[in-house]
Amino acid sequence: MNDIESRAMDIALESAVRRRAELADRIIARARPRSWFAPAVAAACVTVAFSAVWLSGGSRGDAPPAVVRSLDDVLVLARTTGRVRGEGRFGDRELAALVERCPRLRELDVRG
Amino acid sequence: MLDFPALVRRHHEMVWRYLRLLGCDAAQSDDLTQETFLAVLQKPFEQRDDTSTAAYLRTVARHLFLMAVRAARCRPAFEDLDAADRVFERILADAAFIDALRECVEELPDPRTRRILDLRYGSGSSGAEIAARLELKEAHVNTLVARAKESLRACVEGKVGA
Repeated sequence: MNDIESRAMDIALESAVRRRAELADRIIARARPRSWFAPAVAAACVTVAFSAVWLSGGSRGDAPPAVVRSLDDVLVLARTTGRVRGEGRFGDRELAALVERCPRLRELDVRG
Repeated sequence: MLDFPALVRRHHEMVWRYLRLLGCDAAQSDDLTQETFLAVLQKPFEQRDDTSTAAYLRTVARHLFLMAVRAARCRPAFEDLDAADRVFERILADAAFIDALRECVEELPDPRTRRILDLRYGSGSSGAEIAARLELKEAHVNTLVARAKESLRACVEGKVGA
């Protein structure tokens, strides 16, 4: 086997030993919201989430780039940002309060 | 109308293998496979037969790979990507080859070799890590892997006539 064939066999073995069905699910899930989700709403929700994190002790400046498509995404984003600041105080209760303040977040959950 | 979920399920592993062969690591291949299908979603194409669909997806994937190389996100495994394309067509394009290989791995008579392959290709362990775990010398692990690859290649060729 030459170098390319040897690498091809390695990759074939990776495919044979480890099925990657979860990747297909991720691609399909990632594609679905884009067909209906208005970017402006997503941007508004990110802003609200960042504000909430900031109010709970985190910092907007530390927030990682992210696209928010569901309430789970908001929660992950908020928790990640909180962790970066060593706060980690943004939990389910804070998320519920955030949804109360921003009805559009509830819309995310219903549609997502 | 484009049946996107069906398209993804049918071809995502092929695109992933192609990107791996060109030079991406597993995580980069995950990312660029996603980007390939999302690019197709943004600019739908006319689906004809399976072969031309696969060829189109590889063209998109290769374009994204070259952009990733320019952005220093990936490094090509080979200078001659056309040669890699030809090997891909022969070995990795056909799911039947992978299915046959899976059968051949399961039919390996030595359970220790199967365990080594599982650690190397399933868990991504290095030769040194496998050697430490199984209390073998690293050189011996590498020899067993090389021998297994040769015998598996012969086994697959016997099954699919590659």
